Amino acid sequence: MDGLDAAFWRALARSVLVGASVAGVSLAVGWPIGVRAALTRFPGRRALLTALVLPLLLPSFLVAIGLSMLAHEISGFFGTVWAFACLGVPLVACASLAAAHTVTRSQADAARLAGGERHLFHLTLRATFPLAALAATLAAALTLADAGPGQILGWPGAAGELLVSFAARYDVTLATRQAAALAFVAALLAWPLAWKLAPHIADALLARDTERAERHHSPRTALLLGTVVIGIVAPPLTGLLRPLVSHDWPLARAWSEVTRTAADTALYAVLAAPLAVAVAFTAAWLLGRTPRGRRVLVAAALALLAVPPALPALWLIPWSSAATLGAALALRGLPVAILFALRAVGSMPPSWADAARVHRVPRWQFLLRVAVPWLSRWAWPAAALAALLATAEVGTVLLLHPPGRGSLPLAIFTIMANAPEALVAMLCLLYIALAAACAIVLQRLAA
Amino acid sequence: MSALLAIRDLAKRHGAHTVFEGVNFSLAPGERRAVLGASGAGKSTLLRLIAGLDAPNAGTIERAPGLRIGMVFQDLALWPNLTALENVTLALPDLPRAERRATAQAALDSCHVGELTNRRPGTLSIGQQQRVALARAIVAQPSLLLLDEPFSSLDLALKAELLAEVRAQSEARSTAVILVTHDPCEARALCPAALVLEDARIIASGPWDTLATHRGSRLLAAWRSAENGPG
Repeated sequence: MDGLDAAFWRALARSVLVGASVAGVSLAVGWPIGVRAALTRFPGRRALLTALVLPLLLPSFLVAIGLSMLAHEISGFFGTVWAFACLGVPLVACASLAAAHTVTRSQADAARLAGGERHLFHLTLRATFPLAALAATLAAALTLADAGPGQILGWPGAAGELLVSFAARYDVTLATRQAAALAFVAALLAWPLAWKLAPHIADALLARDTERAERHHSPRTALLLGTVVIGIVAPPLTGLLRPLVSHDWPLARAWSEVTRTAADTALYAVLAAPLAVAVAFTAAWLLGRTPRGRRVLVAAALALLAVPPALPALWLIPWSSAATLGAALALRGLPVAILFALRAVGSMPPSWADAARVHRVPRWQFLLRVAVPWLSRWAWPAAALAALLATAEVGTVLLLHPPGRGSLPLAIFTIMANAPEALVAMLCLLYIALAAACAIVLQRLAA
Repeated sequence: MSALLAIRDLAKRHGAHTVFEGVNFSLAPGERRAVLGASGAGKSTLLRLIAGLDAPNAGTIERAPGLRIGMVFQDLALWPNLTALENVTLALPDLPRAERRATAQAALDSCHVGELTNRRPGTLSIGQQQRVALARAIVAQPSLLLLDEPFSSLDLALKAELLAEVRAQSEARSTAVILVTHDPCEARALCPAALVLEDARIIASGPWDTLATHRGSRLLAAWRSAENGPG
């Protein structure tokens, strides 16, 4: 690791400390709440779960901006962990909720008979631990690769050093070395666990014919989940509203910024999403039908999620264009698309292809008439999520966008230091409104 | 070769585990034969080898020239995004479009589900789904019909009805049938003869009166005991 100074290693140590803390907080809060939400029904369940998912669709720096505007005391290590935990807790909760759905109705009934709801909750906690732990580790790995909150809240990490190297010093060689070092550390922390837990995730992704456990009515869960959602969403949102209380709302100026960047933001998403989905579904079709292939793909997806997005982007700088930017952003959405594609391929019993073979159905007819229509039910939400993740990415766009053609998150990120607070807050709120609209559409699609 | 199917010294292994070995039997046109065995005995594996979906580790399967196979799978394997008619027409890739539709409709009619043409599998009862799967398997007029425990989850009345249906179809078209099942009663309702797969080999084979006197098979012993009733 030649050429990396002590400041970088100190920043890396700060990043690791933040990552470990975020993993701990996310696991402690997200894991039990995800399991409770899976096992119970309560008033407002759908709305609360949609609100819980919303932060996952936002760039992390938006949350950090909101927290920094809420109170100047929210800064440093504590503030950075808080900002990242706003994303880590929903990630772990969603993973736990999905994992808890693999508990079948008969398993749940047996647990209820043996020791009631409490016993079922404890058994489900144990059953979902691998996925919850993996999600917490991923949350930690994502903090390593993300410069935003640390820079904004005064606890700059290794990703922040990297950002300074290419955006302020224009030293691409140093930035590449730093990105490689960061990727190495992320890999060291995340990949062994990803490989170990990949079979559990692959199993969870397989279709199950059994009925799901009956949900027990529990208004208390609504209270708990509501508290968590408010704890995650309310502080940054209040922070973003605060500058608007004492000023006129700069809606016209913010809207003009949105419309200026909308076409390019949409273009990058439209380039990235189909590419991610095409690669993911092809890989899942070719590899995802054997246990070993599924394990390899899941581990690859998780590992890819832990790689700093700037690393591939740095290599693509000589060919920077809208198309290469789309390709680099596709890498951001690829892991999620792979998980969707594996779920889709896993939901196709092997006997469908066997029946086509025995009855001499031409391969292309089976693909066009049966496989593609079936898989496309998962392809649309996968594309929507990949597009949202690509849109939220800032570092890659900063490196590869054609001159004067940045995305909306990049516009917010670049003007936040110099523009009036009210304008920054307005832009952030508009972005959140757009993401919320996407979350609702996504939820409808999933339903 | 006058036989429709001739199997010699067939063996299948999964890694170090031998599923079965030394399997020999043949099937004449129009003959109906059951393959009996406990769960995990390798019955479905044998059927997959016969269908050409898997390759054996040793031995040969000789099929009569131009042998056409139809198969009803354990989970039926109906394609859920296609209607009943489309499920059946897709198994007729060689016919012109108009003829394909008419032939598929005739197959559905002969299985008594002709009025369900435009329904998707998910909207049909389990019995109706079984009939659509049977229509798909027989539509191309196969000379060999393979049945991989398709009736194991049905109630007795529906099972008897569908077995009678298969027998009628087989007799009307001179179609040979291999039925894989763990239930000797079900096998006896359709097939005049059976072979018993146990301990990784065929331990008994022949018509039912021969099997009834055979000693040394746990499955046949359990069947005899069930037939004789308590006491």
